[in-house]
Amino acid sequence: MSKNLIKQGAEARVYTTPFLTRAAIAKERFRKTYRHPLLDKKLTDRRLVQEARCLVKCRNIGVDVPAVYFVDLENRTIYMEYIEGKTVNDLLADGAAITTEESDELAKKIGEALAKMHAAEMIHGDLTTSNLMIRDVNKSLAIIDFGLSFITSCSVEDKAVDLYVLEKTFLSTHPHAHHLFLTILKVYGESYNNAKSVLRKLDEGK
Amino acid sequence: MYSSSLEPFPSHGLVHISLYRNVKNAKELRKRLLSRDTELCYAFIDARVILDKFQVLVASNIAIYNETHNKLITHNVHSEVVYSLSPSTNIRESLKNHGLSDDSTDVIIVKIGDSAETVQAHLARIIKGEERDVKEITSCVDLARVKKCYKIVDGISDREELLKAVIGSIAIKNLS
Repeated sequence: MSKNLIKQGAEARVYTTPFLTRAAIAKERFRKTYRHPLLDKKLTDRRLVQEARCLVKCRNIGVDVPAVYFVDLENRTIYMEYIEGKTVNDLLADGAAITTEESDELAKKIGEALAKMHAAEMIHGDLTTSNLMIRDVNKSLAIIDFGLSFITSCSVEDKAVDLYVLEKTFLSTHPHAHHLFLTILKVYGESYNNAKSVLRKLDEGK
Repeated sequence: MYSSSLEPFPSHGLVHISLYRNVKNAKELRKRLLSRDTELCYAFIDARVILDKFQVLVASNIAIYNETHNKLITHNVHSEVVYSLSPSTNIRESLKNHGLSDDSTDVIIVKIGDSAETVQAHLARIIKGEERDVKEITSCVDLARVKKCYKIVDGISDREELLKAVIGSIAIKNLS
C-alpha cells in the first residue's frame, strides 16, 4: 500500500493513502508504551470512536468535515476523506493576497459552521486556522482534525474555550487579521441562539 | 464485473462486484439462501439501497475486517457484507432492507475470494437476468428508500453528499 506520511503530530501520524478507489487520509494513533497495554487500548479505542462519531454527527447536521470511511480499531487508524484545498492558516499567511470581501466571506463561513457545531453540543477541542480548510472544488469551509473533539452536555465553558483557542491563533499567527476574528464572533452571535452566554464567558476569561 | 483487492487487506485476495438487472429468479434465490444452500456463497444486495460501488466496497472491507479479527456478527463473510451495509445492528432487519427480496429485480452480487472468471461464469449460471456494467449501479438506486433507510436529514440532496453521509453511518455502526 503506498502510504505517504504528511503529518506527524503529538498523538498520531497522518498519511495519504488510496482507499477502495478513493484518495484518503489515514490517521494512525500512536501506541503509548508508558501506559499499561490494556489501558492504552481502552483509551485509544475511546478516542477513535469519539473522533469518528463527532465527524459523522457534524456531517449529519450540515457542518462540512471529512467523511469517515473506515474505523480500524485493531490498528488504531481512522480512514477518512482526503480534502483538496487550502487551510485558512495558509490563506491568511503573510503575503497571501486576500481582499476585504473574501475575508468577510471567510469569517461568515467560519462563524456559521462553529455556531452549528456548538448548537449540536459538539466541541472541536483544537480550533486553529490550520484545522479550517476551504475546499478547492466548491469553496466550502471544512473543519478538520477532530482528534480532541467531544460531545458536551450544554457546557458554555467548553464552547468558550473553543473560541478562545481560535482567538489565540489569530492573535499569535494572524495579528493583522484580528478584524476577521471579530466578524467570526459577530456571525457566531447571530447564528446561534445560545451564543450570548458563550460570548460572555469568553469575555470573562480575558 | 469489477474485481479488486482492498488496500487495508492486500493479501486477502480479490473482491468481485457484479450487477444483474431484470433478474427474474430473486424469489428462488432468496429461498435457496434461506435454506443455506452452499452453492450460493455470495452477498446478494438489493441495488435500490446502493448509491455507488464505493458503498459496497466499504461494507466489503468491514466484512473482511470482522472476519480477519474474529469479529463476525453473522454466519459468514458474505452475509456480513449485507449486514455491514445496514445502519441497523439488527441482523434480520439488515438482511431484509439490504439483501434480496422476492421483488428485487436489480441485484448487486459480491464475492470475496476466487478468480474473476470462476465467479462470472457461476453467476451467469445461477442468475436469470442480464449482467451489466457495474457503473450502472448509480442508476438502479431508489433515493427515497436510501434516505429512509439511513435516516438522512432532508437538507442533503447532492448525490456525493448523500453518499458521504451513508458511508459515515456504515463506518460507525459497530463501534461501542
